[in-house]
Amino acid sequence: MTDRDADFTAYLQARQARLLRTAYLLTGDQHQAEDLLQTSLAKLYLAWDKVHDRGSVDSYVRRIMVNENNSLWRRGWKKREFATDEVPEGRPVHDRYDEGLGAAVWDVVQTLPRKARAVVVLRYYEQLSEAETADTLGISVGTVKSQTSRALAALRQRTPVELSPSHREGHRESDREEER
Amino acid sequence: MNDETLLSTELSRRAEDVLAPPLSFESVRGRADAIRRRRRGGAAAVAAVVALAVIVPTVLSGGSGGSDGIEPAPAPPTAPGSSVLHDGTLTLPDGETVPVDVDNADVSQVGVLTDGRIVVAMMDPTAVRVYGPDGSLEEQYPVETNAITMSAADDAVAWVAEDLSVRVLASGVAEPATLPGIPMPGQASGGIDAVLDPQHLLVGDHTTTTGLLTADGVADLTTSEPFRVIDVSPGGDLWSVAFVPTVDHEQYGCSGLYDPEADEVVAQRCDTPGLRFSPDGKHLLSLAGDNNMYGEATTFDLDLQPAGTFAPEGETVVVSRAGWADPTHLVVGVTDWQTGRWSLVRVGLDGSDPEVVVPEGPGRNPETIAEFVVSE
Repeated sequence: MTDRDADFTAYLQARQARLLRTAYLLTGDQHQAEDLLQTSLAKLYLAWDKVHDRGSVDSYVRRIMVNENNSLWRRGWKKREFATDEVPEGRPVHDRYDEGLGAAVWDVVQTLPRKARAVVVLRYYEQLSEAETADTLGISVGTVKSQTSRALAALRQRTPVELSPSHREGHRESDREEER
Repeated sequence: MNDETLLSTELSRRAEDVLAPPLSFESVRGRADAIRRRRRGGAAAVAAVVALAVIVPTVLSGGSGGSDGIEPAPAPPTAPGSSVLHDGTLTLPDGETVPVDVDNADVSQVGVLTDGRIVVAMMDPTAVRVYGPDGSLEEQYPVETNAITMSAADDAVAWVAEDLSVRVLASGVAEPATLPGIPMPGQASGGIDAVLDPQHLLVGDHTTTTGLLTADGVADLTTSEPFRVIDVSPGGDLWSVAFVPTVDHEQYGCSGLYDPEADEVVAQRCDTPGLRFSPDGKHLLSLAGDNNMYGEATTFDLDLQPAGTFAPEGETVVVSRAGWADPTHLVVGVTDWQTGRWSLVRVGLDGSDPEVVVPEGPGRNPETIAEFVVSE
């Protein structure tokens, strides 16, 4: 094995578990995530010599993953999942640990348009700054802000009122008031 | 817990249970080899097109283009398939994507040069923008009309500049060349009907193609009958043309195929406009309709006999834009004008086996914008 391949293999072993999780959040499907990750890592391998700054490899592969996931042609053979403003009806939203709030949030994330979803995953899972997110996605910081704002608005609109953080916070406040 | 913390928590919770057998180096390298082979195939096709483009001016001038020696038969010319701009992402024919920070509401046309640069005709601002292969904005040029004309080989693009001169941006060349303006009465601007190559353009008055524009100016174009050139085949041996509408064929006028070397119209029909050649030059695509919407996409052979039709299902569902994905498939943006929902479909040239590439989703008014802009 060449030094180059050994170098790449070390990166592969160290980072693939984390990158798979990001791929899963982008696609919402385990099999698609595995395929997306393999294709993205293959493209990273082809570009390995060009990625001189090893500190930025994660950023580079994240960009590949997002772009690959946004490819229109890729969607044809994928399962027929798509972005919509409507939460599917009849979906169970109950989750024992939080009375269904987590499932409701995940439903909203899964129905965001792909680019907005990528912004949300990079900002709130990868914990990237707005500037880093913009750089990864090749869009302006303003676009990141507006996509984030729209995603949070969708979250507020589509999370059942009784489960929303503000509603629950309000209830806790009134409970505390009553206790006093 | 606020909304942002809630999102972070839920995403982490969803992700933490995701496990899979580890990918081996060999499996990743195997996928990389497949991608490399596919890329080489695409590059070879583009190189063949670029090489063939130099034949076109010879044909136009009436020369034989041959030599005394026996030359091997050239490979059949094949142009690149269409790319699609949607939601700030341009998807190239091979599936690669490029982020392009534009809203389709501001875009009238898009083209992709063989060097990877992306050229966008903008409605707002009225300009032509050139983006690098990575989607970064390189330059913006003010224009008289927000229209671009790509060469059949995608090795050049032309537009009419604000000062009415003609600009031609060639693949691999940083700045557009300036050609003389198209002679028109008063302050009117002429139209660029076809880019044969970066040095030879067919121009006219938007109704009839009247001249060949080069760096020396416009030379009169004499053809067997008056028409406007709509498209040029990848090999340059046929032009798709539109005849001036007559009383009998008022709606669309008649369309035809013109052989420039023989100077004759070789096929004609009067119920279909705007014929566009397939990447291999063996078929043509036509859309008929108004207001950015069409009832169906129809393909024809080189005798202009129908080869197939794709009509989306539903009374209010129409075709927005369409182009050739490859020599045997169309890519079609479909919209329901009543609900404003959009999808992208890939379909065989005979109209069979439609495959949903982007399932139906929300979008904007199709009378004013195209959520899927198919490249020229």
